Amino acid sequence: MVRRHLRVAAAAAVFALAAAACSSTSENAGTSASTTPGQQRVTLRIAANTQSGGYPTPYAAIRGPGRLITTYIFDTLAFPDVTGEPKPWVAKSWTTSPDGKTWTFNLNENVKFHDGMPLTSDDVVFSFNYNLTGPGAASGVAQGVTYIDTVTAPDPKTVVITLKTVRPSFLQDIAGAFGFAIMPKHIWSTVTDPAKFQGPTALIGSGPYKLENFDLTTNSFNFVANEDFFLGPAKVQKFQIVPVADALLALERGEVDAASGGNSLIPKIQYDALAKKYKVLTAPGEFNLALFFNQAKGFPYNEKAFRQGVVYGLDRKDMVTRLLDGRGIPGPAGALGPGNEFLNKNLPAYPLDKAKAGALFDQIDLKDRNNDGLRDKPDGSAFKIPLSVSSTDTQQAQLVKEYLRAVGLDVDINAVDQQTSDDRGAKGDYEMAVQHFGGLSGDPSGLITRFQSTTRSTSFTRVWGYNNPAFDKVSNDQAVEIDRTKRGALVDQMQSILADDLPQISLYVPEQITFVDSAKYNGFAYTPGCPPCGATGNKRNLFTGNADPAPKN
Amino acid sequence: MTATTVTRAPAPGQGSPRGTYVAGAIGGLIIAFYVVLVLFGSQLAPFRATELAGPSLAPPGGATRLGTNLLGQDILSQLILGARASLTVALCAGAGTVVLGGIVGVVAGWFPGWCDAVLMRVTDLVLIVPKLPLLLLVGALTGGSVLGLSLVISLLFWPNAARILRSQVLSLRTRTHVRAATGFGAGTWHQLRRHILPDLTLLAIAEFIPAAGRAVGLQAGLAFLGVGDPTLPSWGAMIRDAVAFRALFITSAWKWWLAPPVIALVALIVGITLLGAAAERRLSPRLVRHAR
Repeated sequence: MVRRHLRVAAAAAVFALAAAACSSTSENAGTSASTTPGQQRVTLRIAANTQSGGYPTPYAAIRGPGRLITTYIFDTLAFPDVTGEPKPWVAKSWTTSPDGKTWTFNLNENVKFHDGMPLTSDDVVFSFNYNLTGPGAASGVAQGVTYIDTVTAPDPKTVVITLKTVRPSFLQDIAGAFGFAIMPKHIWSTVTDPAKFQGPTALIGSGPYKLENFDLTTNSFNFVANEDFFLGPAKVQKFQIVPVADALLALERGEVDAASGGNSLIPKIQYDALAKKYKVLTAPGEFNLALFFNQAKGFPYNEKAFRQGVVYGLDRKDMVTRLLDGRGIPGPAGALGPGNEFLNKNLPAYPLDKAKAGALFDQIDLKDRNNDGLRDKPDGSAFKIPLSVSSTDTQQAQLVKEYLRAVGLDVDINAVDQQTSDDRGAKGDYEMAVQHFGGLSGDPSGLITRFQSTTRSTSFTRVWGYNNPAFDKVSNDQAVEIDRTKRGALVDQMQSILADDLPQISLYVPEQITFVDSAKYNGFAYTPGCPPCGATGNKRNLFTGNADPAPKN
Repeated sequence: MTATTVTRAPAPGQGSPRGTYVAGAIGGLIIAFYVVLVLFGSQLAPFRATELAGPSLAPPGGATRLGTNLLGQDILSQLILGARASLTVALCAGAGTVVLGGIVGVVAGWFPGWCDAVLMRVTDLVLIVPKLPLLLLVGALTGGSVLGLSLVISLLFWPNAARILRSQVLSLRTRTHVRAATGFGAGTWHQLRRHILPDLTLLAIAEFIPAAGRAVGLQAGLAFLGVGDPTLPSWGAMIRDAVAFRALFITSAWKWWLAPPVIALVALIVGITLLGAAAERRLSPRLVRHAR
């Protein structure tokens, strides 16, 4: 019996060897993977984003997907792993002074840029200063990080950063897709207009990947592993972001190895078919569609009763049903997402309540004075709300229009291209606007740049005309509170204030869904601390080839 | 002796006159049907175009006779109300094309020499301008309003009408009655008003019809590409929304979401083409000559 088992085992081993040899032969013939002794390296293909992310340098890339692309080429001191916590990357370790204001980073040995030049603490100091006070400051890339005092390099492998005030979110702020990318000083020191700097030298970083070729018109990128990377070559040898018409169809056809629903509806019939064939990864949503009120435009946008009335008039649950087939939730009213560890779960849900909406509008004298079914201004003139929206969100805007019509508000949709819509948002050139954006699981201090009355943010996510001293104070207090419990209570207060004032309302948050071919690659996983990473884009996973948490600092 | 009968074959590219007129009548009926939809659309449509009439992607039946789209809007209402955008563009852009082409053609034909040469070179220039990219650009800049779109289409597509009308003016100015009028001292304005423009009217109508048909296709195409007011009901926008739905052909939703606007659009263009062919046969001097 034992002998028979041995024979079967031997036959299986021979078969496995033969299969391996065959696969090795086909790989060498140019298919998707190649082998190195003891470690199989793979080619991974994912679908390109449909929205442009700009040129892939830290100062020209735009929005989350664009910034994510830069992380493959450029490194940061730390980078989040699947737990979302920033873990050592270029810095192998760091220490904090007892007062929490001085951070000392020890850099890894043998870190080199793609052109062979060594990466030293001098490059790190240069990159921080370039961003904070140099030509990069005008770009607004690190606009929220105004609390860094000095960045110095006592020796080539040590960087010391001192802060003006203690900041719990410091590591998150400098790591990840929106962190401080380390650029080669010998290249960038002469660059005075970083947003326009392009060409092969602009794409020299120290990251685990080099850009083999790319096409900005289709958002496609071909990355190849940097074989001289200081931690060794990445397990995913080639990382290809390929243009496809529909990611889910491309996955079904075998053109990509993973595909996300992309924050839009996945019809049930298609979801079920894909779920049978592929592993489904889900995570609480961190992208949302939001309705902005520009309070700087005066009445009635500056009236809390108006904003609350609008929210009571919106059937956000119905939006989730119609637009997402139920795979999502109406957005929490405190501006943090369902996956955020600081989410206040006791906020008002604002379900559809037309009677309440009507009463709130009556309260500020927005009444139907000519019996046409639509509310008029107190002076008797017709009240028409111009709703600014990008052409990608017109269907959603039509739903908003119809819900508000049912409570007597006349909405006029004004659709423009995405860039114009973003510009309008950034300049406050709107009365009400619908915008989509991600980052709901980011650090709560991110709300400072969006909601504080003194913000000078140049992002379209800024809320215009909102001025609540209580929010300003609590948001400042939580930003310097190191005690997690006390900070949590302060962030709860922040969200309660926003949920009551409603300077902006999150309409819905789609659940994150990605179908993955897990037999090919084991590193698919969502990263809570890296909003644009999705389930496929964390470079730490691409490097290790798995989704295991990294060792702590 | 054997009697032989000789039957005259129709000129190449022409059917029998009777067949053409029947086709023209069918075309006219189709267009008349659409005109009724435009005039009484608001009364005929059971819902407003953007109104949430039912659940998402409801199949035809009940209150929503042709079913609903992803948002739950009534397809039948959108179809009826979408006729307005198509026919308005057809009318405005067709008229604009003929008026612009007419002005250039008449001036060029009546004033030979440098004026004719300059206008014809300008005509050649506009003829070679790539139309679609320019339409997309201007459409996006003007917000894609129906009137704005009509103006842009007119500004880009007048050269054909200008060339044909110019040829006719060149021919008319050599006719005896025109030369006689000149001999009696008739001025330019008098000549144009009394002798040239009346003779051009029928030809202008023959030019108007294909221009209108082309405008319908262009308007739908631009709406499909996302140029235009998203809340304005239009067949092109309906097709765009349907095609953007990723499971359109996996489910049977295409039958009630995509097919109706495509059929409506094709029927209108076929109607205009049939009428245009009949009108051209009746009104175009070239074909009238062939038919004689």
